[in-house]
Amino acid sequence: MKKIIFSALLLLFVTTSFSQQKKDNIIAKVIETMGGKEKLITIKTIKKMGFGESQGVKYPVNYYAVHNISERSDFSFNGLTGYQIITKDSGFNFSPFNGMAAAERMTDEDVKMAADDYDLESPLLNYEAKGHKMELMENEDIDGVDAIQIRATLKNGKTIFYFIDPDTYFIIRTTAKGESNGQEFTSTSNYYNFKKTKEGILYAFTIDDVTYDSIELNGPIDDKLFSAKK
Amino acid sequence: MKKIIILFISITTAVAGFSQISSATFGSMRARQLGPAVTGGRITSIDGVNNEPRTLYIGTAGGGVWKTTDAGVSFKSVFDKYCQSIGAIAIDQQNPKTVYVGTGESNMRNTVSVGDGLYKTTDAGENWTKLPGFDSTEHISKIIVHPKNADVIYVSCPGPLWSNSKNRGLYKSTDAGKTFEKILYINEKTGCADVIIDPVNPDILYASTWEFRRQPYSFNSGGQGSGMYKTTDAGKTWKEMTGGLPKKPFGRAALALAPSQPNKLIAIIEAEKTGLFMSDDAGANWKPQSAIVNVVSRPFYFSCLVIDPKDANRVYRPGFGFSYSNDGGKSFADGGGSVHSDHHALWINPQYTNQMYLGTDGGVYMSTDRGASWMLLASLPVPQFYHVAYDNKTPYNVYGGLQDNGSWMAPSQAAFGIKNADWKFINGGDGFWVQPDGTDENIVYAEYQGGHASRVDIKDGTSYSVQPQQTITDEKLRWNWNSPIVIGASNKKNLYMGAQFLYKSTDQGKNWQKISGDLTTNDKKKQEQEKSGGMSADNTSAEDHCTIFTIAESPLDENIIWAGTDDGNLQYTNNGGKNWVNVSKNYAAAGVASQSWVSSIEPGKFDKNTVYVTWENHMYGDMKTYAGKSTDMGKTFTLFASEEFNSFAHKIKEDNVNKNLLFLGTEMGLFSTLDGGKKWFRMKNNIPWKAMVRDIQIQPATGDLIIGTHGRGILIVDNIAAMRTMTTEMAGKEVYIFENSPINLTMGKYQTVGTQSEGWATNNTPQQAPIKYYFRDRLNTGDVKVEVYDKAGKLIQSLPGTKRKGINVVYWNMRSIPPKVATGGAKPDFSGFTAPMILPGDYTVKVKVADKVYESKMKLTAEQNPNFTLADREAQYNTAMELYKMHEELAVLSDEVSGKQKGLKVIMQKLQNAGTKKVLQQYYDSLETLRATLMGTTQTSLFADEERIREQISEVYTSVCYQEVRPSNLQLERVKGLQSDIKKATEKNVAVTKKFSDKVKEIEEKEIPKTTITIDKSKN
Repeated sequence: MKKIIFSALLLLFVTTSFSQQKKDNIIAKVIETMGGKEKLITIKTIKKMGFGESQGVKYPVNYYAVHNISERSDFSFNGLTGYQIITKDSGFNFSPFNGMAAAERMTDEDVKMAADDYDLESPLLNYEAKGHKMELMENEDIDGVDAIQIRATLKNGKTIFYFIDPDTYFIIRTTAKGESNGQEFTSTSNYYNFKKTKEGILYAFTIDDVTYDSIELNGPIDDKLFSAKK
Repeated sequence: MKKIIILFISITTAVAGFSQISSATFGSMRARQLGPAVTGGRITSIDGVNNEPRTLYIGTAGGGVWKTTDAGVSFKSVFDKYCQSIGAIAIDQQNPKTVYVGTGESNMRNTVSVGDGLYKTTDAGENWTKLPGFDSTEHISKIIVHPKNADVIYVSCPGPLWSNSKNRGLYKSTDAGKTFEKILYINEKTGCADVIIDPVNPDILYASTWEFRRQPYSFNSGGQGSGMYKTTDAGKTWKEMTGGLPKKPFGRAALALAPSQPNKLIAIIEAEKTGLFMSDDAGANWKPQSAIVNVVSRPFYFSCLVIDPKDANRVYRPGFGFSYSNDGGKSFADGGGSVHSDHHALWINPQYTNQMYLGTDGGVYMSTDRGASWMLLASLPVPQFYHVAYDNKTPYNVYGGLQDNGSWMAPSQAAFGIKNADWKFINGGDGFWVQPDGTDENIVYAEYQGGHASRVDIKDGTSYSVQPQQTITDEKLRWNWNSPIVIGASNKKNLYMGAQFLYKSTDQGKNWQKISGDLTTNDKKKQEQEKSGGMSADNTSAEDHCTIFTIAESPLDENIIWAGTDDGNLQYTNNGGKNWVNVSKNYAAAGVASQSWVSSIEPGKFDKNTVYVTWENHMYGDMKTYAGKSTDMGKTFTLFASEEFNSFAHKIKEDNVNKNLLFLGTEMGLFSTLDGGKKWFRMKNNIPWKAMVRDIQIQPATGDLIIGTHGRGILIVDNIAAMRTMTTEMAGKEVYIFENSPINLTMGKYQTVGTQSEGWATNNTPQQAPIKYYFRDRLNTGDVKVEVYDKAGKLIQSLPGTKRKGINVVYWNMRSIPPKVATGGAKPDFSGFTAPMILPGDYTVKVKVADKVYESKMKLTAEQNPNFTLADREAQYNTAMELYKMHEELAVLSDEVSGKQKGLKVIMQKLQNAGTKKVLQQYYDSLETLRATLMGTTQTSLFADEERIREQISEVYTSVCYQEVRPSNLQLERVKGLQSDIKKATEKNVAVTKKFSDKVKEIEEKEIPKTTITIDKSKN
């Protein structure tokens, strides 16, 4: 009996270790595909300029972020620009499309939930040191691909499910789940049009209906962009 | 060696070119889930998060697990990949993201489904892991998570209903579900029905065991195996409780413990005289208690008993009705409020015990007054259809009968989506077959259990019985619980009903002709239903047997009629019923058990001699999938096989267009084959993977696949044309573009679902042109554009293409690219999102993938509509285009004005001379005054209108763009007026520029360095 229990525990240990190793190998391959740790840790800023598209309408969409400090997303239509700015301790939304005359402060909860967005290295890199937990889950059918699924439980309480193409190790979908006003929210992004920047870092130049013409790394970004004051 | 190399090359080439057709191939063809949620399906289990009682999980009889995080305003399905029959749910209250789900409902009625195991999530329902040890238990009645040590789990398994099995009893895990050990087991006929735990001393548990068995024609609840047990050492040893309990044998027993006084127990024990028993000393002694009928009725089906979490005297008995006690169970009264009968689950919010959730045969109800009044949570679409049908209206309607919830109909498309209010009640009782009359669009035939069929006029709801009656020479008629009533597939005037005889009417059921003798085995041993029930008599026509279960007239010849029975006979006539041929031995020779139910018959649509059949034998404990085909009128049968099949079959359907396209509905999933049955794949794509698919129809005009499920309502896969076309050869191609069927132009017909705060709503089929193409692989690099060109080769529209593996569908709204609209206003103008709908005609679609272009033709047509003729449509288009151009003209003017203003600002900043500055400021202000006439420039609030030329154009433009009517006289007048306004504004611009041009020129020459910006780029 003792032997059986020992064998069961050993099997459990071996299975758990194998799963852990498999997960870490996958994450390592994803990181490598993204350009590798050495390159990812050099990213300090990012500027993405592009446009969204729907039934023949094109609208500019821009994104700016400073690693682990702040981010800003712009969306323009009919000469008006709305934005969302998030920094470590505050966040603002401005949407002239909804009749806003000035930016409106976001709740602390929502600001906290966005903290991983401007980890430009990716939460997958050095995840343990960042306080995140990663688990390998069952594969999921994503766009017809039998995608590897990694569940990331982030330090801020948000969960991100990464879906990875097993042939290329591209992240082809993320589904983020968190809580806002006591309710669960889900946000899904699909990634296409993968290209490397001149620095050798891989990005999806198309995310859902938005396509970026340019992705610039480590260029200067005016601090004013992260101020909600007009 | 050379040969080996060649062989290797051919193998690798073959592998590279091979692409398996699967559900993922059709991943963009997602089913619409119509519901309804206006009436529910059976709810089997409810558990809520004690510390956050807005979050609840609901287990259903056939619709999987649903989760709400807003106390029941809305629900989300979280178990779509797994078995849909749920027996028990338990949340680990110490870590509420961990939830256990036991599959296999344990309300052991005739139609109860089976489970396939125990599942666990650690992320609140996002992912589930199947735990070992429960693959064959088939039914799980309860799960308990130890209140202090979450590694300890108890799982109560009644076990298989239809066969002997060792896979039953009470199981325990001490490692959070990694392994389980059986800790209470009686015998192969007896499982564990209920278990409760003492929350103060969790080593104490009480359990009831239950001996039971169903056969297709009888039920037995009770036997010496049934008993009441207690352990005080967490299941190591058990002692049977007997003190004060009635003499055995028992049937099923339900248990409850007062969490606030754990020594206080109550139990309903099915016995020779079923009764309520109470114990105040932790089960040592029990006292019988009088109780009202509802408390002790039908114990095999009503096994729920709950004591308030805080008040030991407040007891609830959800049963046929809802009863409560205020004195610990000594006396009961029926609760008030309107609530569906047949209750199986009750969860009380421990933080506010007035609030409770009740699971019934008709969905989940919530009460905030301890059950005095109830509200249906009408956003849970888990109804249990037996059959579905359609009519030929536009849009067509779907019809079906629901377990314990009557018969219903709904449109397949409706304004702003198909909502609860669009569902119309047709007939009462348990609903089964509903058949729209073949010739009179206002008449349908509907029934309740036991063949009680009615002819219903859906205009006014009047109905009368059309059930064939026994004649003086007949034996008593035997009607199945789910008796067939069927309209002829060849002659729509033919109406058939089956008892043990087959009946035919050609006058809407007013008169019937018996067209067969007894088509069943007429086995008298299977006709003793009055003895059914066991400890409690129970025969409600659910066990009636030796009956006709399915009828099908050949679509190619009305004289060929097939009938299948519940006791294994499959017979046909080819002369309208004069003679019958029994082919049951022939299918048995192919490997189907001879006593199987013939669950569906599908006479071939392309060949009279072909017939497809499904059989099911689960009531004899055989869960295998039996589906086959005969091409010689049943002389021989070939059975279909697939590794994917895993449960008994209900329905097979041959496509109307492609004879190789078949659909198979089973108790655990819908399957399809594109090659006549050689290879099958499980259909997913918003169809629960293991949905109980009871019926399948294909609407001929739309090509929609209509799926009737026993727990997820009606699902529709719109237009299966791509499935009809797809071949393995096509699937091997890197890219393939599909031909387009002619598409009717429509402006906003039906629309999409608006804001839906409560209730269930389903979107309509998109009223847009679906452009379909196939990718062998997901396109990870490069871009895809879908472009539409007119006959002259002019680009009409450019859309971003999707890039999934399999079939992609890009919807085009059949409009051109919207106009450039004047910018610089205080608010946006949404004309920039609006374009005129193009005119009927021939167009070319180009799908551009990297440097390759794939072309197809598209024909856009206009419906014949006297209120919107082609001439009207052209007038509408031309007016819209006039307004379109006016928007662009205004945009040019506006850009010019604001461009000048921008230039002036730059110059003014550089000037020192105050006088000069003042002049330029005057110029600037004049331009601003003009600009403020072009569009609203000051009011940002949504509640402050500021209509100027831009907004006024938009008002007319957006109306005209979306109207299916010739522009009115006043709209046309308005266009002229606005054209005049633009003209005046243009003239004003010229005048202002002229007024200041000399002065500006002078300033430019005298005071501004040559390199500065030119203010006026126009030639005015």
